[in-house]
Amino acid sequence: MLYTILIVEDTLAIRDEIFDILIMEGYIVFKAENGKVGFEMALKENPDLIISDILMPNLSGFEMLDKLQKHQKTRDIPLIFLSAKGKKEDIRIGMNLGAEDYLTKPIEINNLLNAVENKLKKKVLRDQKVSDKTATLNAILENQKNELENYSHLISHELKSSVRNVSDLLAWTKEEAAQTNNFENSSLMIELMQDKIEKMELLLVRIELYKNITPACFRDRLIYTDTLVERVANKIEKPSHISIKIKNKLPNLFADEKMLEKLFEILIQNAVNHIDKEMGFIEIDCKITKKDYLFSIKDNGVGIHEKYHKKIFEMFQTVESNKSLGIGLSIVEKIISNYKGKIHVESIPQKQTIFYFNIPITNNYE
Amino acid sequence: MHKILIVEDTLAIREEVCDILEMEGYVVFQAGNGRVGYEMALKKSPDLIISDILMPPLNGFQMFKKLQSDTRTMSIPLIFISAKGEKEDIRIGMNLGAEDYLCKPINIDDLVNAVKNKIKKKSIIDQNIIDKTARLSNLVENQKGKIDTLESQVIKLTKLLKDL
Repeated sequence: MLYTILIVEDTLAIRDEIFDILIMEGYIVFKAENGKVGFEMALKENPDLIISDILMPNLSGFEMLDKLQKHQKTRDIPLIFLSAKGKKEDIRIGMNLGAEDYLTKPIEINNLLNAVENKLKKKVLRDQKVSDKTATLNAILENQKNELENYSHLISHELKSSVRNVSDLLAWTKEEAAQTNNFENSSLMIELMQDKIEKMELLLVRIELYKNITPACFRDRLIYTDTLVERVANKIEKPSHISIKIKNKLPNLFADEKMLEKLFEILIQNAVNHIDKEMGFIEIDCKITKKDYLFSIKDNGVGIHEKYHKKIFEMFQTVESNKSLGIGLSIVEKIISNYKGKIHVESIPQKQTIFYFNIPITNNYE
Repeated sequence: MHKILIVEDTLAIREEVCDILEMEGYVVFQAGNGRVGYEMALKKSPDLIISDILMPPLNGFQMFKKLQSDTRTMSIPLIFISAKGEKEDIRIGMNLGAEDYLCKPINIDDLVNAVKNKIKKKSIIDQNIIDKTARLSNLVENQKGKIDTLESQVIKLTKLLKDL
């Protein structure tokens, strides 16, 4: 972090000397030759610290400090006086005005650097305090920003293109009807339109689901993941050439049942959707380490190219496929991150895909 | 109500400072040496500490170093008061990171002034936090409005499509 310091001093030689010392120490330094210029520069550059002489024509150091303290924008900039007036009483006058320190001329380099460092350190502490106190709000703001972007994207891209599709289909149907006076092809168009609309409805349901995943709606209790996954596997619609298998017995853990169910539902359904082989296998497993339950869902489907491995977890990012809405994995990630876990994918294109996610083991037996 | 901690081994001076500050409307805590002072700073988290330097068993410098290396107390401003009143003595105290250095015998005006200045600085910081919080809250509210609008647009749009 680079700090900026403003020097206000009318004697050119001293001004340059201090300038050189501070530049050597790596600070960004501004110079002003009197209090008037100093005040203006403080307003403009918002320095982290001001070092000022006292006796100067055109607004003395005292007058400038008074002005700085009265101005909302400059009142919390720390100031160190630097003066040839070095009696104890002089120091008191300067300090009583609200200076942070008072150094006497001739300048002793160590004292100068020490004072500068101390005051900057204090400033960092103060700034830290402000950012600590506002951290929660900043986090909310950041979250909202993402949400906002997602909605904007949804409207501007996903829905718009769907609407355009439907209206194109509608226009063609009309045209055809007008030209040929028969509706031979229209039923196909209407089916396509229905398809599009159904997809949008599903998207909306998913969006609502995503939005509703908040820490408040997690009710953790003991879950037999084995039974849960079995139930999900039986519920999922899949062609008969695909089999779903649990490799080893899955653990019992504390989590929210509905959320966990949703999570497996999305991951297994995704796997089913992307199997292109004559025989499809999906295998669910869990390894227990000291810290985590490490779940894996493996399929022998089309695979995912490496360039998509990160992207697929972002909202509305899909690998070229019209089966996906681009929100399922965002939901999965949101659920897992509520447990402070992570998800990633490993894949060999055309051969297999494995999704791994971990749920840290907690001692939460409430 | 601002809280001030006085760390001073001489009872007479401690009580004098205490009286002056209480008259000014501050809440004042007293400690007879650096060790008690450090513990009290932890317990009471005062807005300002005024400390003597020469005290057994933990002197003012040692106490200040301890305070500065503890995250719970590192941001409490400290003013030294000492009979050691040469310019070099002042420099030593200030170089340690003190906010001010007053010489004994205590001049009441100087004391009150120094305390007022440091408390004022602290209020400005607190005000900054309040201002920033208000600004951020405003932004959050604003964004929430935007999200709500977009959300209702999404719903409207989808309804429209359903009714096609």
